[in-house]
Amino acid sequence: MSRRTIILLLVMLPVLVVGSLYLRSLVRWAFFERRRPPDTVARAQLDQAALQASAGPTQTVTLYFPSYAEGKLRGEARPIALATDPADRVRQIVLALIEGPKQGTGSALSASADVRGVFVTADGTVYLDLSSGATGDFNPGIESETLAVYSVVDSLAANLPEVKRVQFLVQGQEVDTLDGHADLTAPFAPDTSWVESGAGAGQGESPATPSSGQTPGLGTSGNP
Amino acid sequence: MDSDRKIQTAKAERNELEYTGQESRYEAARKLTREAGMGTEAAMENKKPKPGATSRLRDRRIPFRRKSALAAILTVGAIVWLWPARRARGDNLVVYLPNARQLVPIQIVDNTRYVPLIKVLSLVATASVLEEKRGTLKLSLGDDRLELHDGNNKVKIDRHDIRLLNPVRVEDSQWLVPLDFLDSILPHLTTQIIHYRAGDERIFLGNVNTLTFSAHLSPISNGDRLDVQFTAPVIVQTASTNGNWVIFLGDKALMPLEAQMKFQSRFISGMRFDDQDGVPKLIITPTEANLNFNPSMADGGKTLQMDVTQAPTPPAQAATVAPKVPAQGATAGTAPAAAAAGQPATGATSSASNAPQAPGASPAAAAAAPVLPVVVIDPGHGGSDAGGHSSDGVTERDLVAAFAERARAALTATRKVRVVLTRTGSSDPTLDERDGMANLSHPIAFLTLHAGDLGGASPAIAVYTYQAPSQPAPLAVSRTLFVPWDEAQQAHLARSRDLANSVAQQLGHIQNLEIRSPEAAPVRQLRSVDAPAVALELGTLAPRQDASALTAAPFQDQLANAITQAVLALVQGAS
Repeated sequence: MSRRTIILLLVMLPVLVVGSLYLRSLVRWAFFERRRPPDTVARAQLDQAALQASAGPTQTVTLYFPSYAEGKLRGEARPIALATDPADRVRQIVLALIEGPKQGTGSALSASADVRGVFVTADGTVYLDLSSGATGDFNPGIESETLAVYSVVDSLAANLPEVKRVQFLVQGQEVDTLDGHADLTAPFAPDTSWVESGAGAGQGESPATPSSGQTPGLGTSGNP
Repeated sequence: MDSDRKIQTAKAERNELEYTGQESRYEAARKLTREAGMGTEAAMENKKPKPGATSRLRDRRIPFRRKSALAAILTVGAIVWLWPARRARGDNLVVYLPNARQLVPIQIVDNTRYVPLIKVLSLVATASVLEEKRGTLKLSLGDDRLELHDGNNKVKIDRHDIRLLNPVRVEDSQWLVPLDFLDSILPHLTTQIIHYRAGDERIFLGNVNTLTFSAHLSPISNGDRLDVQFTAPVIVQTASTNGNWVIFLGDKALMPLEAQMKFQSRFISGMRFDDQDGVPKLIITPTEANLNFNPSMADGGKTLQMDVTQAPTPPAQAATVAPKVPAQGATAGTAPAAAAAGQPATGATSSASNAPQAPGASPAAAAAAPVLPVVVIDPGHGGSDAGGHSSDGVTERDLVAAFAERARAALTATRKVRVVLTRTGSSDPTLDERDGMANLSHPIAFLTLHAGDLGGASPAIAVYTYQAPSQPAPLAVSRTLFVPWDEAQQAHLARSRDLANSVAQQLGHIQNLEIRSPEAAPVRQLRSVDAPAVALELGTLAPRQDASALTAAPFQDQLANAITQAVLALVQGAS
């Protein structure tokens, strides 16, 4: 083997290695990764599991949706068969909020938002991990973001007494704001001053009570 | 035999020449061989490479090392050729109009300064795009036709070609022209008077009275005197920021002969002119922090005399520390200490007093003339962050920027406050940078402006004060020197509520405007402001409706006047 060939091979070797690695990743991406169940599918399965995990009878919960004309939250009663696990119950209520109101008020969260994970700590702090859809398809503003945040916080606190605070995460990360306005850097305590005065559960039914035997404690419901 | 001899002789000569490398004679010998009737066999034999010929042929090829070097050069050349142009955000081009100023952002592409073509043309005429395809732009400006080509420095005006120093560029679908467009082409497109000095970042359009100035430094007892002589009377205000003394030169249009001056002085190291935010000012840099600064006007307001003297105090008493700008992106830290040499020092006008200095006074406290309080206005969003938008394409970013400018004009016209804007042009400081800017100014009030969905179709406005997400109890009135950055607003909540009520009350005088009662909300921008602070949200700005009611100039003027009245009430209450 001549000297020239050796030098050529030495030069070509790294190129070949890098090229083959690139091709390998390209093939993986094109043929394998796309076949794996996407994150959204996994989340949908979790959502489905949470919604079907009805250990108790159907209860009427109060969901608070924004009424932009008044700049307040308005309660809406809805029957939901709440799950036994605290994290699943949180997921159920947030998914119901994402589903939207049925009595003419505004939506709290974008329909493209999704719950990526829920973690409930022993001190009653809920870590609610929302997908980027919660901020990407949102009409930004101080009022709309404040109402969106308290729609979730007050709905959870009204129906799940073990919930004391809610810390919002987006795509698993702590964020400064929801979409440029509402301060999400700290956990939110419920604030009923945003609820329209005299507005109850819409249909006069009492908010749900936790299922018997449920004690505040650690619960998780997240993506695998 | 004779023929054979000739062949042998020619062969011998050819071989000899081959060794000696005489090419022309070698070729001649080959010809002679052919002429001598050499047979095919002999010719084939001669085609076989001789040992000497092989080495020679190898020598005549390009060596491998040279090939490698050539390939490397070509590769690097291709990379350099294909590498995207380096872009950066530059300063602003300040456009002085007879009654207004505008800022045009400058972009730096491959070390050349560019300005957006359409924005520049809109300053002198209404431009309409006739055709834009395949890197060619044809525009119509009145009777003129303009044709530009991407990557080409030739610009066609009607039938004449003018060459720019640098090529026209298209970046992010935006046509950019180099700065020399302003003096080589712009004058052909308008009948307005244009003053532009090549290389400057300011241009004067129309009948603008421009001033200039000269500076002279002379020694005085225990210090230096810096005289700045203007070509016409000016009204100035002074402040101290980051250890520098800043002389605001009012609404005059200044064209400095020298933008930067350096002095061989023990007290003043330099002076520079800056109008990048649209406000012309002189920035004077002292050589050290503990110096007395005593400005006064003379010569009917045409000369600004600044005496810089050594403070006759022990070093221990003169420990004044200039405030430091918080690190960019800092999310936690401390609010600046309340007393520092960074707060506005004096509103030295033509009647500014030459008050004697207290021993040990800091530069900020030295000029003890009346202090103009500062109001910080924060137009929300900015840069690529447009915020919300309406059906007719009005963005929150642009709407609040225009509103902020009107509020600034209304407030400064009272001559009772000074206004600091947290952003101008296309800048987009972070939330903490904005709060940092505000805290360094020690404002009497902070207003952050936003627009969003307030439900109704008619104009509405909501006023907010800060409420922490977890609603901690407000801090005690007595404050320590350092306050957690995240809790800077807590000590001002009561005064913020007073300001919000005052603003809401003044806004209530505007007809056909729905006022929301002031609420406490977790507005992130207010969290770290170390002053009374409120957020205003204009509405409704939403994709379902147009924003013509919000962009109307009379409506914005009414809002600006209402805010001005509320701020003046706050100023009077504080004094």
